[in-house]
Amino acid sequence: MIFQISGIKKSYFQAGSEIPVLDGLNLEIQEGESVAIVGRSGSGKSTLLSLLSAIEDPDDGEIILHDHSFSDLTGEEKILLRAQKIGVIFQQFHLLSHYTALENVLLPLEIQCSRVDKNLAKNLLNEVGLSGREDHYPHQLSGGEKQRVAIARALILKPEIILADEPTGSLDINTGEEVMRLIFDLVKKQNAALVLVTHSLELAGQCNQILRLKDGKLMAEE
Amino acid sequence: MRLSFLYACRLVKQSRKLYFIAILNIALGLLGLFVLQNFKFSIQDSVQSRVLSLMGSHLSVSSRSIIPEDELSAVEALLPEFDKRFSQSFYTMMQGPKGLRLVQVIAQEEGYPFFGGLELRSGVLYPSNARLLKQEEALLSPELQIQLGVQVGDEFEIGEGVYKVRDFIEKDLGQSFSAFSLAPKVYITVQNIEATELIQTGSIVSKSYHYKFSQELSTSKIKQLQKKILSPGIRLSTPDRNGDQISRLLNYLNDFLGLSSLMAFTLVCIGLHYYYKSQADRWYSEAALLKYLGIKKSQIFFAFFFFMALVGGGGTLLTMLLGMVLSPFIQILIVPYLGADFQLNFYWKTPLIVVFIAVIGNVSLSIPVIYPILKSRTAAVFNSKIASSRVKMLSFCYIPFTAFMFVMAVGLSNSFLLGALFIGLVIGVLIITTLSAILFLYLGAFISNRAGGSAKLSMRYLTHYKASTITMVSSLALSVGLMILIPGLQKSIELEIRGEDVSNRSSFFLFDIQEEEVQALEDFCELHSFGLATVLPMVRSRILKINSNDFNRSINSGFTREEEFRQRFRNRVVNLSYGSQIPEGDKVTEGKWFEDRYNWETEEWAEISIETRYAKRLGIELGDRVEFEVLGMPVKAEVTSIRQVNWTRFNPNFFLILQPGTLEMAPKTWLASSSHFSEKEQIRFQELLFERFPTISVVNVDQIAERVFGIIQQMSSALIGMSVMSLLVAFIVLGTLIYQKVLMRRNDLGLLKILGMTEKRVTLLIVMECIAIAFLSCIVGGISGLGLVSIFSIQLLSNSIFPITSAYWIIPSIVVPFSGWIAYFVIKKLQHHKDFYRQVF
Repeated sequence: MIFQISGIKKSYFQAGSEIPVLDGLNLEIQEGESVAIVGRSGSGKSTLLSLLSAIEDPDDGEIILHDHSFSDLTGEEKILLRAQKIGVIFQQFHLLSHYTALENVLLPLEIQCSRVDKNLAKNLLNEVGLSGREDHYPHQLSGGEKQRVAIARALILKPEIILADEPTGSLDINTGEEVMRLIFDLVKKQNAALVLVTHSLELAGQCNQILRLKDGKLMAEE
Repeated sequence: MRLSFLYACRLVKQSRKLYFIAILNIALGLLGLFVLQNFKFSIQDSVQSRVLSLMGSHLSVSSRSIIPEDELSAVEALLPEFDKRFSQSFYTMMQGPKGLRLVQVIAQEEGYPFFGGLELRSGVLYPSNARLLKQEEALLSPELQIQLGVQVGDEFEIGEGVYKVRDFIEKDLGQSFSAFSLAPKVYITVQNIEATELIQTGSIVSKSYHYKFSQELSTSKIKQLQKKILSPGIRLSTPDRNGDQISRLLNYLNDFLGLSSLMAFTLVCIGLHYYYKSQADRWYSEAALLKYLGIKKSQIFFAFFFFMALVGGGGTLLTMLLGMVLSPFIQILIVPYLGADFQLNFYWKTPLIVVFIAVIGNVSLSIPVIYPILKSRTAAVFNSKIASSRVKMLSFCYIPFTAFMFVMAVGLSNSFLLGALFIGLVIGVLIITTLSAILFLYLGAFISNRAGGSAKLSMRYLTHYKASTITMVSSLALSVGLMILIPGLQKSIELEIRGEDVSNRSSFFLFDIQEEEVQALEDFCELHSFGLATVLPMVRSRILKINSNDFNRSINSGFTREEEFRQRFRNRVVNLSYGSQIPEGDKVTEGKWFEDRYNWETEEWAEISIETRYAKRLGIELGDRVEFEVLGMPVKAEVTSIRQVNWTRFNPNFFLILQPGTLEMAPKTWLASSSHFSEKEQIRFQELLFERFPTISVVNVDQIAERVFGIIQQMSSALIGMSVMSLLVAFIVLGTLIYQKVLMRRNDLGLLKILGMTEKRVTLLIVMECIAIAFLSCIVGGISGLGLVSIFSIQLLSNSIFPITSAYWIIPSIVVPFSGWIAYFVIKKLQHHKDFYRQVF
């Protein structure tokens, strides 16, 4: 098991009142498994992702990644663990606009100060179909191409789990389908688990498990 | 209108923090102007309220030479019924138990001054409430009690006269600001002045006739009177003119302080412009939406106009509040210089001026932002890219702001030249800064391709967001340049006054030496082994014509600072000298020094040598012909050499030196200077000289140099204070820019955290960028400042060495770490916010 999430609670305070978002949420994710999380806007999907990626801490409950409980780790240990084990793909791509496609893919390696293997990044760009576009800046790429760069970046450190936050939300249907196909192929190839947050039941249907986030809890979608 | 105003209020509400920073920025930038305007009005008020006391009469006619009877009669014939008094004054040495001191002896007829007077230590006001001085009595400035050790009742000598100290002066109502008097005063009766036997032919004595009328003279009457004065050097003073003259010196300081405060305002404008620009994209889209919804262009214009007015108005209110809170402290600071009587008041016209500057400045500054908003296309509602597309002719939108700044600079400095120079310098430094920043960005891009990790990220960011990098570098570089410039100028002036090598400088300057005393003085110095550096004759004259053109003497009230200065300069009585030897330390830069004596029988034009800067001021060149008048006798001379004079030696020297053989027969006195003496020798020299030559006046050059330097130090302290303010503003601008930059980058920073960057490294990244900007600003601003110091010091003051001061390294060593600290503070504050990184999802 990669992720074991039990009883997590998270609330926010707005205008002096407490707004509960997650309320005793449980989730288990196995190696190579793909899990789709669906839910209405404001149901807490983004909050769940920020907790899974250790950007935020839950108010209560426990998140265990590969026998490491987040609550037992220091801030730096959490960051290191996330960088090594988790890859994230965003709806808005979040590429550094002043970095080329190749540099964006290499960024996680540079941050980790690991040996920067440009060939590895080039191969990944090749795999996502961007061969020859290495030196292009984000503003020179289409939406679909930007998301391909983001996928390559998420995979460069060979993470064990990919968190994808509505990866097709900013793309047209055809491009979205291509991108999703790419994500499923590459995740499968790397034997990584996938947590896919989406509004599309069609996309969610391609995953092993579909969970609906409602009233702060996850429940299996029928 | 209501809709526009409500929209403007909503814009303020939307970004309350930034609005507060913007108005704080304006307040700090305008605080200097606010205080200075109040200071200026307070000086005017103080002088106006005391104008009769300061003058002592309604009219005075004074001169350092003879006032011809016929001219005086012509003036008096035009006057209404008057009361008249006579006074004269001269400088001489006074001996007391503790030593010798140069004093100004003032002899006044009974009943003068008509207004004001002297507040004596015994508590009475002289002459109105006290008995008149007896013939042998004298009133002394209080510093003489300490300097010479004299007490009330003590007898002392001035020349051959013996006087008794009746009282000490507590306050001289005829004196404006004590810091600027040259020598302490001794008041005696006019009947007893002859007893000193110090007034001889050629002695420099100021004589004045004072008049009192039943009412003050009209301006037209004063003009009529002025026409009756034909002799050079005769001055007609009225309370208004006298008041103007008194406030002139303080206003010079005010003008320079005004420019420093304008620098702070310039930095504020840079910050505000960036603030508006950072909001512009959102405003473009919103304006497009408003247009789409059917709102008129004029309503949109007013919405943004009201917003700018709210920023300007908020800033003005805060300025006034801060100004009023700080006024008592500023009052405490200026009392030592202007006396306890000087009151820094609050004037309602000051906020009006500040509001005018804040609003007009702010609106003219916002034109480049508002104009594209008005031009925004409704189609931007469907495509955000259209909204930010470039608007043609945008650079012309900066013209109103540049014109506004130019008018401000001229108005604040009271000088077209200084104002133009200021704007030129700011634009020059901005161009240099921008070019340097672009070069840096180019190098940065090159380096970043080869660097890795945080360094690469920092450099890439700086090179990618060129506008913000250049803005930050410009605002910091301008204030660093200013901070380097002012201590540099101070050091240059110190070098000029104190000299590079004190041992080259004379210890004493001797004047009022009569023709028959010259040989005796030389023998005296040889006998007692005192070095006598220079002995030169001085002949008073006036310039009649230059190259056959009459020399204009009138002064109009509408003159600018430069014109007034030039005219005053031209009106002076000119002192001439002659000699066969070029004065020690002088260098002929054009032409050649005299080779033989002038022969009046065979030559019409004598040769004359002119000092470089004097020639420049009068527009005289080599080969030009100048005609003088010496006591009614014409003297004609052709410029055969232009000389550079080393004034810091404090040796007697003259702007104009004629060929030997021209002025030997003219009435004259002599000037001399001693070598440099030790302190012990100085006392011995003064005592022996006073004993042997009681009529010769001696100025201690060291004391004068230190005194002048003290005043300059005070002035530069005020300027440094003002530039610290501009640096503070620059730091706020920097803080604001960093805050906005970090906010703009929060997604990028969130991404970096997701990708494994620790918060420490994220902080380091921002701090590194800021330090790089501060470092570049220090280099660019420092080099610009040093360049200006060099121009001023070497080109204008002719110092042979570059002035070095610790400020050159202290300022960068404060600015760089402090900028890093600001960045650290801002990023930590933002990181503290729970949602900061979460926004990435």
